[in-house]
Amino acid sequence: MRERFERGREFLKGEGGAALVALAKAAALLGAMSEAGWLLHTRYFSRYFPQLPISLAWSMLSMIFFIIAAQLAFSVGLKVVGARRQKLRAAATARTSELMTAYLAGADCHRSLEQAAGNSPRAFETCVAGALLRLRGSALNRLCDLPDVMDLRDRWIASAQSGSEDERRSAVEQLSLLADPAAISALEKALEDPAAPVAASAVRGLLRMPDYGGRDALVQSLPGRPFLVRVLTACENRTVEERARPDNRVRAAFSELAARGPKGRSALRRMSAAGVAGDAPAEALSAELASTARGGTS
Amino acid sequence: MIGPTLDIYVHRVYFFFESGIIFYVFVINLIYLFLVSLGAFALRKHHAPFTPADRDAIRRSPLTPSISLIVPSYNEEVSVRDSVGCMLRLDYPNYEVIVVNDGSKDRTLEFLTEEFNLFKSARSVAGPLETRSIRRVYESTEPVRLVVIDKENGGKADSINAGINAARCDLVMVVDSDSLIERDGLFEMIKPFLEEPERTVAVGGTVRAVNDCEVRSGVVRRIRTSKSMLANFQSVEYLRAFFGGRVGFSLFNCMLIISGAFGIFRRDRAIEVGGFDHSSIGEDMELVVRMHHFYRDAKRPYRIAYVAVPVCWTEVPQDWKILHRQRKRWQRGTVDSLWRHREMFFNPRYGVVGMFAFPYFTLFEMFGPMVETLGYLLTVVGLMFHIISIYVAVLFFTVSIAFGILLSTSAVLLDELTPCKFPNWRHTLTLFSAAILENFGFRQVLTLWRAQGLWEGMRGKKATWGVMTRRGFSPSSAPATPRPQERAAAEAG
Repeated sequence: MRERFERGREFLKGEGGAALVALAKAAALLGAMSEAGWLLHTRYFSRYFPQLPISLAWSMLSMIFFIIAAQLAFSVGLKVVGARRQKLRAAATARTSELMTAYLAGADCHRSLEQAAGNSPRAFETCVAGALLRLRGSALNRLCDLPDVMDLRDRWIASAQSGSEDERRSAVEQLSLLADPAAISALEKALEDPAAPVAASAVRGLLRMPDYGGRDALVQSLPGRPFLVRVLTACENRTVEERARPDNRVRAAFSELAARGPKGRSALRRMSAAGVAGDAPAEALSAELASTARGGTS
Repeated sequence: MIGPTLDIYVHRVYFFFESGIIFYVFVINLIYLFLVSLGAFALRKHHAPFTPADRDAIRRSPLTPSISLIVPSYNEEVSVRDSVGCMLRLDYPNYEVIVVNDGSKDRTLEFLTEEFNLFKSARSVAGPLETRSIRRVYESTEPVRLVVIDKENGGKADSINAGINAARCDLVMVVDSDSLIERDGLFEMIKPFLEEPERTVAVGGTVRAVNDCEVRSGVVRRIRTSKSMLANFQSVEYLRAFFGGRVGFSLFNCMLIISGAFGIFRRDRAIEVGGFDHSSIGEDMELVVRMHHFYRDAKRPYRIAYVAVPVCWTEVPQDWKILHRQRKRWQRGTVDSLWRHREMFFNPRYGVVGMFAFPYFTLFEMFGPMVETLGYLLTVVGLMFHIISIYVAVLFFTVSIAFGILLSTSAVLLDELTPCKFPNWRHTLTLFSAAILENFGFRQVLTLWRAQGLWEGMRGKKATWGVMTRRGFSPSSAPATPRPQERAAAEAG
């Protein structure tokens, strides 16, 4: 009995619970539709069609017609409004982005930027999120000096602990990129988030914090975490030296490619130019060319 | 005395069948509506894609599982270069493409050799699954992981098994050679394997119609509806099947079909259950049902998942004859798979699969066309012998059609929740019109063909794949990589 109870609890904790919630919602939706159809039958159609099946068929037809019309209006409306909103947002983002670039380049335009943030907060958030992905060092510090960015940080800290999974995930991801010590406690709480991508973002964020004291304990706790978290954090978990050194298998593959002749070498040149796997393609290429110059096979 | 009594009996028998059919139609529509509503609530919540940061982490992670893409190909000279080129450009860190040329009679192998500079390889392709003999194995001299297996003709299942034998990755993905996968589609496809690596044995993705979409270099650049209404009808059908049916079934781990055009399996688990069955006409469905049967029998935890976000684009038939053959084959595949595993029907040992999914497929997907055809016949008979009035017949027929329209338009609405939606409201309107119009003629024709497929399947008539005429991917599609003559011209230039 106890085992069954445990199994049931496990089922409800995982996907099963979510499935049951979706099932209940679907049942409620169909129930509401049936109720509306029944109301149509009792209040209207039963007066004109005394036979129950005929009256019910008419009420069903009317309901279906209303629903289809609503679906059509919703779909087309969504598209038209969405396109318009997207256009406006793109314009606002472009303007904010322009101002932010000027500000980061040293221009004194923080007042205009603040105004832009007040006018369209979502565009400002998008720009900050984009900037966080690309900025490092003094540029990142300058961005963080903006009071609106600090407001955003506080908002992200709040939504990292509440809100929907998407909101939590986005907030934790931004906090990870911000690398602000004030976000550490929020990120530590997010480590226990039931959604694996949220926990993974928190792990990444904490491992990136330069002065995070719990780093070793966190790294040691990783093997016990869900596989998705381990996959998403495996790169951060490696040491800086390990990351800088290309894998031996990669080196072997590049050497093999270089030995294939002109086509292999030109592929390596392309990879080297594109910056694939650091210096490994160039090293393999120069080793092969040196070997050819010494009289080896090409 | 005898006359009126007989008349009463005829009426009673007639109404017995007629009310049975009305009840059946009501139940089937209720289940469909339920599945569509489930899709509406589950689609957004359970199918959120990875963020760019997550994708970047997966790209760099040493734990990311490797994937072998198996592309069975038979007489696919029109589309094979584009589709293989598209597969070689996928955004995924660790994968290989294995094209299995199943004894094509056209220039499929020649085109592949020219396009990808193939050389004869000594790679071993022997494995635990039995297949027809392998003629030769080729690999590409380009820095791409492409393996081409040339084998004697043995059918699609045999080709996939040869691919599974040759695969060196943890996961095997089966993709049709007339299909295009979205560039970052593999990230989403592996998500269930990352969430539950031990339990997940197979994952299915969404297949959509590519007809008249703008395709450039093997990538769908612009999604649009087709100029052919027949293709649009099938577009709506695909949306209904995937967003309406599979989302709901996968929520309860009882999905019985993973499309043969786009499915991913754990290699060891696929081998464990014996791979694809050569003798089955619906080998994709058969394997999934066999997996359910096997793991439920063994009482081992497993999960067969569906992900809505990654999309595989495929060319749907625009010719009635080809469509007829395809639908008959699908129906016979369903009959064959369900008959082979009939032990699961209403068997509580198989849990939700045995008690809901299997009976649903048997009663509604397998016998549905027969009951629907019988309903049409009974209505005509009833009208001819004045058993029912024309008013009642038309009213009930209209209600049944309206239910069909509601299901189709709901599926079109669900499409709005996905990132691959049609970008323009005009396309949405076209799709809505297709969703309405398909119920007047197209659906009835399909019902008749499926009933024919059911009849042939029950009689055990031998099924054939037939020839699918390909149009290729849009007139604007450019070759995947420059053709040899173009490459020579470029080099000379």
